[in-house]
Amino acid sequence: MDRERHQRNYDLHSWIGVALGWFVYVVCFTGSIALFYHEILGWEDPAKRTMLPAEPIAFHEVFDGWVAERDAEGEIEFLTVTFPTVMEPYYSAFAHVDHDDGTHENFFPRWHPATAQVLPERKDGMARWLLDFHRDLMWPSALGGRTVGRALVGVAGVILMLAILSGVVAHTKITDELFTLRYWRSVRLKWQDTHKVLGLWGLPFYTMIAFTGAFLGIVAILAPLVAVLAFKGDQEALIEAVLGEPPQAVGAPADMMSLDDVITLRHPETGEVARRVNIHNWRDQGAVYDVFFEPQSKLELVEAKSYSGVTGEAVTNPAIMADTPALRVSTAITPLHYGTYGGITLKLLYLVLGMSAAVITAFGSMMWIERRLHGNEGHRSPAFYRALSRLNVGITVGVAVATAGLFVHNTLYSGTEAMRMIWTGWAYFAVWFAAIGYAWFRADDYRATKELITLTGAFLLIASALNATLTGHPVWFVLTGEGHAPTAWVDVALIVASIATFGIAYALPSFRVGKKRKPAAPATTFVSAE
Amino acid sequence: MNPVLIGVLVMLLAGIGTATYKAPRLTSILFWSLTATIFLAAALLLIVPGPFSEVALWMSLAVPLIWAGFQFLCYWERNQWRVTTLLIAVTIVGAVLVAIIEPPL
Repeated sequence: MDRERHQRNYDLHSWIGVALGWFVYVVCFTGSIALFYHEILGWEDPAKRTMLPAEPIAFHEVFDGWVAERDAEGEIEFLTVTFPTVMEPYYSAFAHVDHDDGTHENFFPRWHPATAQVLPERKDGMARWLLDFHRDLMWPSALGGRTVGRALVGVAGVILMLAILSGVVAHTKITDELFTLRYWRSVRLKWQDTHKVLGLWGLPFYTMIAFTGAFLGIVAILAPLVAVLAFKGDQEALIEAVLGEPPQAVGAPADMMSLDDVITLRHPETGEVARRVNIHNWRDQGAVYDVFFEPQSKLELVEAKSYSGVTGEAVTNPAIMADTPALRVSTAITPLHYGTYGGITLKLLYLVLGMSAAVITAFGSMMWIERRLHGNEGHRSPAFYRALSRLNVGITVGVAVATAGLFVHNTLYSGTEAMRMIWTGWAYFAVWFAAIGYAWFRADDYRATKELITLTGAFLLIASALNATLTGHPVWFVLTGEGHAPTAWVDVALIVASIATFGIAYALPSFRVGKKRKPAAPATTFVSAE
Repeated sequence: MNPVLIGVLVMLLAGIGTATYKAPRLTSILFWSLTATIFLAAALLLIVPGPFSEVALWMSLAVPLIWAGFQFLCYWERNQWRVTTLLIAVTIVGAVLVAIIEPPL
């Protein structure tokens, strides 16, 4: 590669990092936490600590009564029911109802698996915030809503892909750099080598996560765009062309096949149990159950079969029955991105690699600033680069403090369910901005980093202690086998993470280790001996 | 068409034209790579043979790769005008194909 092209490519790599590194960092960091959405959901919601009975109670009549109530309120547009599992030990349903006055309403009730009593309402909170902040930045409706946010996160994936491509091309001695970590040399070399070693060893993972993230984000805005272009604005026609027509109602009333029979269904080929049912045309002769079974290959998002909702005979529903290479690849994207296909061990591996992606971007920004603050590059004043460095600490470490702070906030929250998500958002941003302010006014990047990381560890430890105290569900349930084990494991994870965080804070230097510039030599005067 | 809208569109086009003239690589990576990707994907969706749902899914999968590829090309190509011209040409050809081909219904 000629020198000019190499330089251009190197500049592209650097400027991507400088201009968008913080954004990519936040997406990577929050994504690493979002991996544990279901585990955190169980931890934050006491209803999920219900012990799953061996035989869940009969549910069909309860559900039928509830659907009748919704039906009286308007037209049910979408109806689904989910059966109890260890992670979500209750029956739950979702209904989207179109009212006669043109408004819509969503319902999310839950029923106890042993008594079928309605469980207390629980609105989305910390777990949903952590997941959605990664998926769509909780983008406000006033600025275009979640679809815009999701597309922006998809753009982060494209940026990461571009950074990976330009980074690989920029590094011409990949084999040497894979094994070079000059940890005890200068600050710049240490960060530079860490950036390269982590980047190169994790390359396949980062490429996969960038591509799948870009797909999941961009597809949300791409579908309407393509519809506007290729289908002259008719998005429904596009959906129909891709998914086929949904089952149509006949108009003749009928008794439904019992959901208590559906829960006992097994996938005809794999033998896996039914987990969820999408219901079309409830109490109609043309009713169809789309039954989603536990996927045999965890890389599949779903393994679905359709049955007549009246007779229970297998029927064809093109929207879910298609089994084509493209569908298999696209349904594998979500499990691949969130690491849901290999158990908790794989998720922990994803956590390490995801965090390392965040660390790489942070090191990239730090190197860029370091070269200008203590090197020969850059044309701005030292004060400008110092300000940038403080912001870098505040944003990167601050997001960790804010995330840990949410766990404490969740255990102490005593407001209404309707306000839970709003207060969660306020708490998150308040802690994050406080951390940015602290890093700014502390005016010592090394100490600010150590102190903010220590605060992160303290928050994690406090959250675990508060959970044990307030919910009566201590961490040693992991050992005794009492209570809901997955929840207790989250407490174990919080304690381990807090110890690791304290260790990192302890190991970090309190000041910059490097050569100090020699002070200018005093002017020498020659005095005559006379 | 609403004259205000026409005015806004003209201003937008003038702005993009000026930006392209002043900084072709930067405008290409920020703007033309995206338009080229969108119109290329939409055009391919209409002209690639095979079941539509299958082509649509493959196209959705290909879009991030095409976009990142175009962006990379912006700083890889020696001649800054060559890549800009290519991306504008892809955008125009894609737009023409989308305009003249009827969607499969």
